[in-house]
Amino acid sequence: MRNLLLFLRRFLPELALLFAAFVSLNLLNSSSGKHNNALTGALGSTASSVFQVKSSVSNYFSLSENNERLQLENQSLRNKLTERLSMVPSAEVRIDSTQLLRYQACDIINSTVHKDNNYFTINQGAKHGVNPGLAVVSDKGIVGVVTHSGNNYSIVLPVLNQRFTTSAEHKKTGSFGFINWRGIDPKIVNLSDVANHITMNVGDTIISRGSSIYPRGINIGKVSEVNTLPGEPYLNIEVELFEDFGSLRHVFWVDKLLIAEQDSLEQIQEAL
Amino acid sequence: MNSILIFCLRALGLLLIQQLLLNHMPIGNGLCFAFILPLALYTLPFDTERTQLILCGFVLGLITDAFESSYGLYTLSFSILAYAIGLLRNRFYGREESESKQNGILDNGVVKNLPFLFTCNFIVLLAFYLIENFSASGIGYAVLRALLSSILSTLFMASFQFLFPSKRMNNR
Repeated sequence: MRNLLLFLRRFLPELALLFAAFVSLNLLNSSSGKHNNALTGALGSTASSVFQVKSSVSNYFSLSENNERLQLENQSLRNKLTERLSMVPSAEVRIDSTQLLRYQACDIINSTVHKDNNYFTINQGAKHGVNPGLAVVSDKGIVGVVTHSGNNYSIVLPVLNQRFTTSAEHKKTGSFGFINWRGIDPKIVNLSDVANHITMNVGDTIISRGSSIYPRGINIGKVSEVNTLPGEPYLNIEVELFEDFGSLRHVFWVDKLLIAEQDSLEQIQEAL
Repeated sequence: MNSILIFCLRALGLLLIQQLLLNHMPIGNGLCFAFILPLALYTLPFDTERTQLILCGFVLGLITDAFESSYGLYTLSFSILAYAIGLLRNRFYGREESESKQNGILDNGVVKNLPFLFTCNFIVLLAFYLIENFSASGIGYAVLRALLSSILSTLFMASFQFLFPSKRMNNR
């Protein structure tokens, strides 16, 4: 208290000047249109700058919450899109009925990328509707497939596992092969079984071909290297993945709503 | 109390001279004018505290604003001037002058006062023109007007001292 009084006493002239300036500017502001405009403009821009900084700081602290909200919104939009597309007449948009999908957002809570056989753990399990065999994708492309599901958690076999394989398609030509990882670079996978008469250029996009696990047309990566081996009928193709698995946190598991019907039909065909 | 009363009477007299005479004598097509109202603050005793000086400047500014219908313009200018006087008076005048606490600043002789008068006049007029203009575009013109007006005002104040020398100055 004593220090406060000493401080006030020491800076009394400055405080008096500030008070005088405050009163004068108020008088100017209320009496003169020109000063009113200038003061409002100056104070407005200063206040805007302060609000901008404040907003940036508070945004930083609410990033996690915003991420979660956006993820839910994404999930809802994807589901709505699927519903809408399934209602569009087939003349306008060609939608395979097997593409009827449900996207459910979830988080990766544990993952490895540098082992030969990597696994991810997601924070949803059987009680959320996750079953083995469901596809897991992200905004950028395919991620993996669910292999085991507990009540609350599930294990995902990611692309970065030598046991993982799925059929993939060259977007330009439609020719297809199989994607697998050789366990060296977490950004590069191999596309095998593409015949060497196919024209494939570096930068071409590779998408999922559609299988009992993955819907068709989900991005995988872009061609980074194409080699022709002498005497071999197939091209040796390296594909750079769109997804950076090292920083991957938010994913979706995909439920193909009509997969049961597809499976039963295929089983009948096999039985014949 | 006595010095406050003298200040009020002096301020009133200067205000009348400023309003009735000097404000009707713009020089250079309104480029500059003689501003002698700050004399009321210069004549306050040396021992006037800085806060009291600012208060006097504030009141003088308010009254002038009331006459000029320019609310806030003179109040802020005179408050800044009073603050500047409080800071500058001990720098411009040595121990000998400031020891005569009851003496006003102008009791130190006309020639000796000129640098102080010019500096303070320039500060108050620069503040006045900058506040009046209140935009970044006219700063150069405001500085020019403040410079010319402060030269003119200093000359007027010096003449004023020659014409009406204070009693204390005569005794020295």
